[in-house]
Amino acid sequence: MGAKMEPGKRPTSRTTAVILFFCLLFPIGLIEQSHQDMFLDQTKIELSEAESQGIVRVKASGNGLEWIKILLESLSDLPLEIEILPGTIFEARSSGTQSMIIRERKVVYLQPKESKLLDVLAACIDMMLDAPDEGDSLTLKTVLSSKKRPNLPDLHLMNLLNLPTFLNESFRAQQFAIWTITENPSNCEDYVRLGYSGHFTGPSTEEMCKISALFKEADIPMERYPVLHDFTCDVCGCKNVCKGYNLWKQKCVDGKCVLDYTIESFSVRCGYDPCKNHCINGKKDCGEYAVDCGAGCPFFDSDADGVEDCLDICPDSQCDKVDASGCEIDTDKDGIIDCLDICPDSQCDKVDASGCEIDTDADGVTDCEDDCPDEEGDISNRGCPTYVDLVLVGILVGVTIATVVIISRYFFQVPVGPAPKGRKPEENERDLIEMLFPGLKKQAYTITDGPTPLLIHLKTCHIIANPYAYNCIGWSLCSIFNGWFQPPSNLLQAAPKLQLKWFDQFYAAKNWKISKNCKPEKGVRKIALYCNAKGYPSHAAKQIEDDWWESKLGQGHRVVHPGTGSLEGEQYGKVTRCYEKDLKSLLKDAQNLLKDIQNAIKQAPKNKFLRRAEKEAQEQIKNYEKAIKKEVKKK
Amino acid sequence: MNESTSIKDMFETYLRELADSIENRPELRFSSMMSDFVNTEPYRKIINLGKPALPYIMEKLREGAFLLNPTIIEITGLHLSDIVPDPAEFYSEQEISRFLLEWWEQHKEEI
Repeated sequence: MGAKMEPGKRPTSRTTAVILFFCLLFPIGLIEQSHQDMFLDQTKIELSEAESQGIVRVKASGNGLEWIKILLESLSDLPLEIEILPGTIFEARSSGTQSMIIRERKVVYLQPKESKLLDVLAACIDMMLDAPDEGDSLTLKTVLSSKKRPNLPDLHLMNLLNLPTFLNESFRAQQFAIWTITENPSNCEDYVRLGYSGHFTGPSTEEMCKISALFKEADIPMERYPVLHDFTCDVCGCKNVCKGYNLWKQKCVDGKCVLDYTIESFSVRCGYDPCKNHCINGKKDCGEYAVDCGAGCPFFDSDADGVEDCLDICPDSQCDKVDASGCEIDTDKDGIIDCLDICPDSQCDKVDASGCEIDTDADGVTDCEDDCPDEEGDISNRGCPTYVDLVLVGILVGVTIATVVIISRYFFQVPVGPAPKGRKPEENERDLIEMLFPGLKKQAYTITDGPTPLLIHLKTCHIIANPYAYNCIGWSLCSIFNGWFQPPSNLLQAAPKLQLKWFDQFYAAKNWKISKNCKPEKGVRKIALYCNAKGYPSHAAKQIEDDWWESKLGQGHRVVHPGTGSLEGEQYGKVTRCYEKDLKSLLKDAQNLLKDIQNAIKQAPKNKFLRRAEKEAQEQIKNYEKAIKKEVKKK
Repeated sequence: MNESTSIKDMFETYLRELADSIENRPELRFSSMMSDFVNTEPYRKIINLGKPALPYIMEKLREGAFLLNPTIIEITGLHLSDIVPDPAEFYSEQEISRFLLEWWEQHKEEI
C-alpha cells in the first residue's frame, strides 16, 4: 500500500491527513485492505496524541484508588490501535479530588466509530486529597514522557512506572512508592493511611524496604527522598541474587549488599530450566518440581543405562545396574560394581576381581572371617593355627579391638568406616548444612536426597507448590511416599508436653515402642526424637545401621550422619527419646509399603516420584533382609 | 475498588513473601515443624485476610500447597475431626489437604 510509515513512528496530523486522502482515492475493496494493513502495523497512536489530533474522544471517571474508568470513542473512519502508557495523567475536575496516574500499558483496538469502556490500573498522585469515585470526572492531561522539559520527579516517576517488576508489588507498595516521589514525605508518619474495613495503616517497614528496592532498581537517587534514608540493608536485609544459574545469599556490609555464599546451584529461581532435556518416554516431565513441561522431546540415554542423560551424573557407565543418578551400583559394597560382580552378596570387602571373597592361605576360611589370613589354620579357630599361646594373643588383640570399637560406638557414638550410602556434600551444601548443624563439621556425613521445598518462587513471580515434599517424620517411617507428618494444626501452638504425647501416640500407632536408650542394639532399629530448647519436638532421625542415622532436614537435604549427637545444637535441640522396632517387623512394613507404592504406580504409571519411592522401598527391603541374615549368621 | 481482585493480589503477594521468607531464612528451610512457618509475618497476614481469601487458598491447596492447611483450619475454625474419616487415625498433611478440599466442595456456598 502506498501510505506506509516507518514502523514505530506515530502518525502526525499531517500524515493522518495524507493517509485519509489516499484512502479516498482508492476503490472500497482496496481501502478495506489498506485499513487492515494499517490496523496491523501503522495506526498505533498514543492516547493523548490521539485525543489532541481529534481521532478519539476520551471520557474518564474515578473508580477508587486503584482504577479509573476510561470511555474511548473513535472519531476515525479507520481502525485504530490506541496505546495507553504508564505515566499518563488524568486530572480531577474537582479541586478536592486526587488526580490519577496510569500504572499499566494497555493497547486498545477500535473499529471505525466504535466506543469502548475500559478499567485501567491507576494510582493517586495528590496524597492529601480524596480518591475519585465514579461520579468524579477526570480529564486527560498528558503523558509524562511527552513533556518537553520533564522535571526530576517526573523522570523518577517514569523510571518507576516503567520498571517491569513494579506491577508485581502489592498495590499499597506501588501507591506509597508513587507518593514518595510526588509528595516527598520526610518520615513514614507523613503518608496517608491505606486499607479496608476500618484497618488503615501507613507503610510497614517491609513495604518501605520494597519501595527502597524499587528505587534502587529504577536508578532513582535515594538522597533526594529523605524518608528512604533509614531503609538501607541494615534494616531491610539483602535479597538473594542470581549469578548465572546460581542463587547467592548476600550480606549487608556498611549499608550495602555484597555476595556472601551460594545457596543453591542450578536454581530454578535463576532461570535454570529443570524441564530442559528432561524427558520420560519422549515427553518432558519434571514431576519432582510439580511442573508439567508439555510434550515433545526425545529420551536421551547415551550409555543406555535407563537413566536419561539430563539426570545421569555418570553418563559413561558401562552397565545397566545403576542407581537413580545413573551411576553403577555396588550392592555389597565390596568395591566391585554389580555388573562385574559374580558374587553380588559377598559379606566383606576382601574380594577378587570378580567380587568373590578371597582366601589367601587356602585354609577354607575367607580372609574376612580369617583371623590369620596369611597362615593356614583351622575353621574352628577362625583360620588360625591352634597353638594355645597364639590363641591367647589372638584373644587379647581381639578384646583390645572390641573394647576400642565398643567405646567408640557406645560412649562417643562414633561409627567406624564410611557412611553406608549417599554422596559427599558439595562445598556450598556443606557450608549451609554445617552452619546450622556445627556437629557435622569434620564428620563423614553424606547426602541421600536433595532439598524438597514446599514453595518454589519462580523468576516469573509465580509460586509453584511441591506436593511431594516430605519431612523427617514422614521419612522416619521409611519412605518419601509417606509425605509430611506433624502434630495437627490445633496442637501447633500447644504446650510441648502435648506435642510430645502426640509423637508417642503417633509412633505407637505405627508399632514403634519407646526405647530404653538411643544406643544401637541388635535386632532393632531406632528413631531418635529431638526437642528444641523450649521442649518442642523438632526433628526425628532414623537409625539405618550401626550408629549411622538418616535425617531429612526439613525442606532441605536428606543426610546420613554418624550418631544422633551430630545433629544436636541450636536448630533441633537435643535427643529427648528414642523409639524402637524389630528388624522383622520393619521388613514387613517395607514390603507392605512397596505394595502401596506399586498400587499407586498403577494409577499413575509415569509418575517419577512414585518410581523413585518404589526404588527406595526395594532397596530398603534388601537392606533389612541383609541385616537380618547378618544377625542370624552372627548368632 | 475491586475488593475481590485486591484480596487475590494481597494473597499472592503474601504467598510470595512467605516463599521468600522461607528461602531467605535457612533455619526455616531446615525446619520440619510448621509451627515455625505459622508464626512468620507473611503467614499471619494470609490468615488475617480471612474468609474472602479462602477460594484462592483452596486453589493453591489444589496445586499441592499443603503448608496452607493450618491457615484454613484457623480461618474456618474447623477441627480436624470435622473433616477426616477417622479422628483416631494419623494423616499426612497431603492427605489432610485432600480432606479439606472435599470439605470445601461441599461447603463453599455456605462460606
